[in-house]
Amino acid sequence: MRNLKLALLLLTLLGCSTAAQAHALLEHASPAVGSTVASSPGSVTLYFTERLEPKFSGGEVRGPGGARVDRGASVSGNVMRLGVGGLRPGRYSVTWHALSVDTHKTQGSFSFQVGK
Amino acid sequence: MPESMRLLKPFAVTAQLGYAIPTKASVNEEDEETGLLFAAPVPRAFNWGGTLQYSMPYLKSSVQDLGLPAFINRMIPIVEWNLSTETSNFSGEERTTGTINPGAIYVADKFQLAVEAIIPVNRASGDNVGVMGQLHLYLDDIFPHSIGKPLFGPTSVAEGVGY
Repeated sequence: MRNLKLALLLLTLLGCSTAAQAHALLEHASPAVGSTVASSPGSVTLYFTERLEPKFSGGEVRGPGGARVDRGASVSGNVMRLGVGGLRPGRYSVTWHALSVDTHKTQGSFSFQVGK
Repeated sequence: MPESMRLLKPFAVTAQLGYAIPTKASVNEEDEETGLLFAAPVPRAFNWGGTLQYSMPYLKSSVQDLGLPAFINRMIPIVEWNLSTETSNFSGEERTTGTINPGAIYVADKFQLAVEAIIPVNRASGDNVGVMGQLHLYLDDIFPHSIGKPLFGPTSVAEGVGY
């Protein structure tokens, strides 16, 4: 019985799940992730938990039809800005990739709605 | 997944399967009552387990930012189950043993902390509920200028080519 309990404890410890490590993760965005805004924003701004390497970080915004609608990404510190303008009502998807200054890659995506 | 079910996106399920084959069919053990040695069979066992978890960090960064407190946004509620079913050479007692472990993981920038209850699935698995804690330190983030950098080659992205 003692061996059984030891084996179960070992199995439990080995099986204990781990989450992904925290590197350059998206802290918040404007427009907020999953939000609805009344009118077109001037840009989509992403705020990360770590400073980014500008040359190896970027993103894009795509419209309801899948066409790219941003004017490119600019990165400074832990902020990535994707210029947009005149977005028509609809759901827009944002995808981003980042390389933090500690050389770890991360990526993600989210969407937001313009108008009802 | 349809947009109306987006709040289900942060759910994740993991599974693990394994088959344990002992190197010996039996081991000598002492009888607790008589003190005599006897050959205790070592069974072959099918080890199986999994987790069901809900990632609040993923909810915030990829599905919907609900404006919850930062502490909540770093939590991952989780239920684990680790079970073992003896398939041969068993002694005739309960063949499936294991635990179910509900708990939560807190993910910080430089560490993560997990706390789970350990609940036996039957009497053969144990008589009491336990608690397990696990602390992971992200050493490369804590010590970025020593053990957190490459041993060889460029030490920053700016020095590298085509990283």
